[in-house]
Amino acid sequence: MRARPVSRPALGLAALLVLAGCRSGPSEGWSSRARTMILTSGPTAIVMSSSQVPGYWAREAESEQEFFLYTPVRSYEKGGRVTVEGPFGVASAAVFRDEEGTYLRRSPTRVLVVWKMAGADGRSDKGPASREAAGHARRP
Amino acid sequence: MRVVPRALWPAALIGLAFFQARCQSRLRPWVPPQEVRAKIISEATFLRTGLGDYVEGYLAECESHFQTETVVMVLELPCYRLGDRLIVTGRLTDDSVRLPLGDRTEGRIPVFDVTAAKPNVPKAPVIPALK
Repeated sequence: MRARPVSRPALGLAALLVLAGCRSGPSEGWSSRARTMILTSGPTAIVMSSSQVPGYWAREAESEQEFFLYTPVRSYEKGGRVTVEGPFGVASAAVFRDEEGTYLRRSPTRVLVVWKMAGADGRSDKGPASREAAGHARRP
Repeated sequence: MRVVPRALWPAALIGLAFFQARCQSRLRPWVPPQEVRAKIISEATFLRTGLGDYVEGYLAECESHFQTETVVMVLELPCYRLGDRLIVTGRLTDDSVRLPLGDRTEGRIPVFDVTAAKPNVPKAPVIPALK
């Protein structure tokens, strides 16, 4: 029983594609690129899994999508323009909207965990879940 | 003859598991959330319920079907103030909170689990102009 010579490159290509698929992971939720955001709230909090999560509501400048930026930093103001880095994902959270005075317990919310945050004035802050703190620091 | 009992074993075990789960659970049939008008009559407080849960919420007067009832309104983010009038969506639970009602008596106040709330802003009545 000899295998056909054509099947060997095809198998190799399939294995390569499977390997690439396993390594790449989902495109959403894991991005280290910096995003420019406009803060649409002052320091506030949401509740996820019965825990209060401090941060800000923000709108991405490019896509107009709304995010909750998880950071303990309280020094930024509403309307400010910031650049943030960190992973993000959709979570079901209890939220309160100051403008409308509405409360919603299970609201699908895009939460971005801030690793690094920089204001327009050049000031830079690192969140508690920064790469260094999480043990993902690049080794020299 | 041996094939039949062997096939029945899994079904019998699943039935037993369901029976035990039903006996032990505090679950009750699903009830659709109801919308009520409420007025907050206390500051935000941290309370322990009769079933042992620690909750954060307010005492509120709920109006439903022309009846007013005092409930403990449970919210995960207590951001309202004393005197706020709200339109609240949620469910009454089996749980209650014991609170002093004065004269050394204790009352059981039912717990209302809030899923959504918004301010109740009354609209001005439309009065037709005089001709």
